[in-house]
Parts: sequence; C-alpha cells; structure tokens
Amino acid sequence: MNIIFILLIILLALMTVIGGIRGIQSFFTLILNFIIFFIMLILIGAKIDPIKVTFIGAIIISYVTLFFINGYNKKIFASLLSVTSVILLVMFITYEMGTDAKIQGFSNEQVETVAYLSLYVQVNFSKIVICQILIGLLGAIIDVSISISSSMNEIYKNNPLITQQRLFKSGMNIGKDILGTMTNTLLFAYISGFMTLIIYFSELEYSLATIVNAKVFCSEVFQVICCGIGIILIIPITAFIASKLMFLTRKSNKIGALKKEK
Amino acid sequence: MFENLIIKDISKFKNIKTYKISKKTLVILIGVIIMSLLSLYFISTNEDLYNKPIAKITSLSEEQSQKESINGKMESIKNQKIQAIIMNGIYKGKTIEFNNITSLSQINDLDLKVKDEVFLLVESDADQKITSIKILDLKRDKYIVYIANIFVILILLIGGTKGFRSLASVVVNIIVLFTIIQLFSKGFDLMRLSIIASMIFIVLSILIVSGRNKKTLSAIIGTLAGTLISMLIAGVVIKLNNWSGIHFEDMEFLTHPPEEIFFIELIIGTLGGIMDIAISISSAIKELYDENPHIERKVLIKSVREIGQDIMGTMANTLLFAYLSGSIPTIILLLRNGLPITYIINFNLSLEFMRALTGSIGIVLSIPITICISIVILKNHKIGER
Repeated sequence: MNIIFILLIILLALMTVIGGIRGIQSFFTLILNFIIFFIMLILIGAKIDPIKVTFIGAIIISYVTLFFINGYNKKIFASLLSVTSVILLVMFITYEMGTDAKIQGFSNEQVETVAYLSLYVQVNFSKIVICQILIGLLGAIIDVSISISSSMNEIYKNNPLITQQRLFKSGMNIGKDILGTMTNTLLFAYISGFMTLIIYFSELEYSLATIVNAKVFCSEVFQVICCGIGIILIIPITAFIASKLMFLTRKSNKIGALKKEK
Repeated sequence: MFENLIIKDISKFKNIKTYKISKKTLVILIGVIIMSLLSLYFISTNEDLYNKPIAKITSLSEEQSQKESINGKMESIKNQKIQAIIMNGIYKGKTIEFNNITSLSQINDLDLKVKDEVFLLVESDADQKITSIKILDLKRDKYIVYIANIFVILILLIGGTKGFRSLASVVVNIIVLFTIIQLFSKGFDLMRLSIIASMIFIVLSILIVSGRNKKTLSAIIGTLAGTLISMLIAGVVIKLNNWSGIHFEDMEFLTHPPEEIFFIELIIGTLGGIMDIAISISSAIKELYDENPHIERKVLIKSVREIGQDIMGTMANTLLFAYLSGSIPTIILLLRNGLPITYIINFNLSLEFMRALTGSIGIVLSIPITICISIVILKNHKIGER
C-alpha cells in the first residue's frame, strides 16, 4: 500500500485524538491549502502572470488558514492585513535582487534530470522564483502573525486599560520570543532539502568559489534568507496593526456607547 | 492624517528605544555596521581572488527571433552581442566580444544586462591571442552578501538581544552541518553521524534560544523523545511497505543510495518543528505553574492541550508550504510540457509529501510527550525543594 496514504491516515488519527474537533479542522485545512496551492500552479501553467496568481493565492490561503483554525474575529483581520503587507514588502525587496541574481530555473547539475523535456515553455521563470520564495514563507508568517495577534488580544481583554504603546510593546516581546524557534524550524526544514545538494557538492569536490556562485546554492540560500526576512518583518507589522485595530474598535465602541447615552 | 499618525507612533517608538541603548548594544551596532560595510567592499572588488577569468559587461545589443520548441509552440529568443572587459588574470583590462543566447523562459540560460559579471572559459593560442570564449556562469556572490546583510541588520534592529540569539543559533547550526558533511566525505558512516548531529542540533539550538533553565531541560527531552517516536513511526511504515509510492528521481544524481540520505533528511527536517512545539508547550506549562503552584494536574493538562491545539494546525501548515515551495519550478515545467497532473503529483511530490507528513506527525505527537515530561520534571523539582 502507498506510504503517503498510510501516513495521511496516521496524521488524521493523531490530530483527532490529540486535537479533537480543532485537530480535524486543522487536518482538512491542510488538505484544502494543498488543493489551493495546486490550483495556483495550474493557473500559472496556463500562462497567467505568476506574480498576480501568487499574490491572490497567498491571500486566499491566509484567509482559509486563519478562518478555519481561529474562527472569524478581529485577530484574524489584523493578521490578514499584516500577512498581505509582508508579502508585498518581501516581493518588493526580492524582486529586483532575485531577477539580477538570475537564480531562476534549473542549474547545469539539475538539468540532466529534466533533459527529456522542452526547456522553452513560454513562462518567465525569473517570476517563478519570486513565487517560490513567497509560497515558502507564507505558512511561517501566518503562524507568527496569528500567535502575536491572539496573545495581544488576550492581553487586551485581561487589561482593557492598557495604553496602545504598551500593547504594541508586548506584541513585539511576544514576537521576539517566537523569532528564535521559528527561524530554527525553517532552517532545519530547508537544510533537510538542501543536504542532497551539499553531499553532491562535496562528492564532486567543488571549490568554495564555485559553490557560492552556483545557481542551485544561491537559489537555496536566497530562499532561506528571504524566509527569515519575512518572519522578522511580520513581528513589528502585526504588533503595529493589531494594536491600531484594537484601539480603533475601542474608540468606535466608546462613541457608540456615548451616543446611546444621549 | 493617517500617515501623520504613523510617523508620530514610529517617532515615539524610536524615543523609547534611544533611551535604552546601553554601551554593549552600541558596540554591537557599530561592529555590525563596520562588518557589513567591509563585506560590501570586499564583494565588489574580489575578482582577483578567482582563478577563472571574469568579464564585466560594458555594452550589449540584442536581436529578437522566434524558435519552435519540441512541443510545437513558438518561444521568443534573444541573441545578445556582448562587449565586455576582463577584470582579472593574465588578460586583465582586455576588451572582448562574444555572443549569448537567451530565451523568454530563462530556464537554463542567462539574460545578461550591462554591469553583470560572468565567469568565462577562455582559450588562447601560443601568442596569448584569445581564440574562443564560452560563458560558464554568472558571478552571484555579491547578491548573497546583499541579502544576508539585509537579513542580519533587520534581525538585530527588530529582534534586539533575542534576534542576536536566533542569529547565533542559526550560525552554530550551519557550522555543525558543514562539519558533519566534511566528516562524511572523509568516510564516516552517515547514519551515525547524523544521529549525533541531530542531538547536537537539538541541545544547542534550545539552549541558545531559551537559556539554561528547567523549561529548556523539558523542551530538550521532549524534542528528543518526539523525534525518536516519529522517526520510529516513519521507519516502520517505510519498512512494511518497502518504499512503495515514493519516487527518488529527483535525487538520482547522487552516488549514494538515496533511501538512506532521504531518511536522514527526514530526521533533520522533523527536528525543527518538534523543537518549536516543545519550547512553546514547556514554557506555557512553566508560566501556568508559576502563576498558580497549586494548580491541579487535570486543569493544567486541559489548558496546555488547548494551547497545543492552537499551534498545531498553523505549524503543520508552515512545514507544508516550506516543503512544497521547492518543487514549484519542476511542476510548472512539467505542466507546460503537457504531462498529466496525476503523474506530476505521484512522481514529483512524493518526497515533499513524505517530509511534510512526517514533520506534521512529529509536531502533533510532541504535544502530549512534552506535556508529560514537563509535568514530571516540574513535580520532581518541587518535591526536591521542600
């Protein structure tokens, strides 16, 4: 029997036992996200602009993830806004550099495995790189953002007299706590995909000079670092947007209350 | 109006920060600025360190044309006539001309621009006259330095001391990884090496990120146990089914058996996620205990389980996208070549699915494991104190 299928069933069973109803929800969010991801790829394959597809797809994925895992409330709105702005920012930072560094497509080492295919496919692969970077960091920034905004929401609920500045600062502190573990999670996830390559390089006894200029190496490093940049940027942005949003609604609530009194 | 508000807020935030700058942070800040300036200077003038000739493009003219590809569609091709100047070696200062062909897709070719630097293969006759020139690759080292600089400055600026710690743990882990690969190429057994390396990864990363305390101890034991159990599950499933449904085409260029290397990659990929969960759970238990030392075990477990349910979904999502993103270029290439979707999912995503699933299983499992271990460690400690 197929290994993937068995592992899927094991995961579903574990999530149900340990996570209850929310575990089942999380499991089906994963499946749904994969389907959205694949639809995005099919759209890109149909020659629709990769950057636009990625941007819209990323917003849909964030919405689905936040909504199914956390339910509809202020927190997810703050997170959705922050995730969107970080995606735009990272796109802005990496677009120029990614195209200039020409890390797109396949390197001479990898191209042998796809030698039977046509490499002229009428889709600009320097845009695909940006798409790859953004999708890779999407899950991580959603995770960090929702952790920060839900903790801030708890703090605000428990202490309604807190000032906006204090709330922002506690959001920043929570974010900094997550930073260390999140960078490690992603680092190891990428290292695990990267090991084949490093072993291959050491087998061929590539010199350091060749490695740091090689396309495969550069594109991997680029992706890891861009992920890191995304995780860092999401911290102050979520803290800022969440503190603003919570205070905006408080003001309108107060005005509403005043009007009712009159 | 709104912009004014933001500026005000940012300036307020800056004021808070400037009051708190101590001598130590100032020294670190100046050190970082000097380091980044030095690296930028070094990378812009390091041509002489390379053995291969490097040419900097001074001008180019382009000619558009169309070419029919294998699948019968037309692809626009650019023919670039390039003038460049050689930056190093025996031909230093010489102006040369060569051609370059690039396509719209740019899958395995370079769309060169003025000021780009390329490595060349230069052949010459007995009189040192250049007879042929071939482009080898683009010089990419400066871009790595640029983006690394942005990363380091941002993490220190926003993360402060904690950012510095995260950066330190990243650097330490990379050093450990490269040592392992070095030892492996000297003939040590890869499986044993990576098990030792995983332990080093776990202990060092958690120690650096969360300091020396009881939380750290339970997080370390939780991660070790979680990784072990999830690897056992994956191992048993693999053994029973003898790798059915898993395709190693992507790893074929290795001379080692891909199964072994892939299993090691599974271990290392699973580590990070489990570590994250173990740290979150153990600190949550510590917080709850500190707030109310007489808290009942049932209540404690219930609230920590809720926290676990909160983080498990988004964490599994993180892993899913981190792994899937790597296969995007291949999938697009296959889709454009008209291969059926079921074929693509079966053959090109099986490794990524395997990684994401094992990682997620590890994440979910490590929640109850860390809860048990944390409670045991905290309880023992309490008894010892009395």
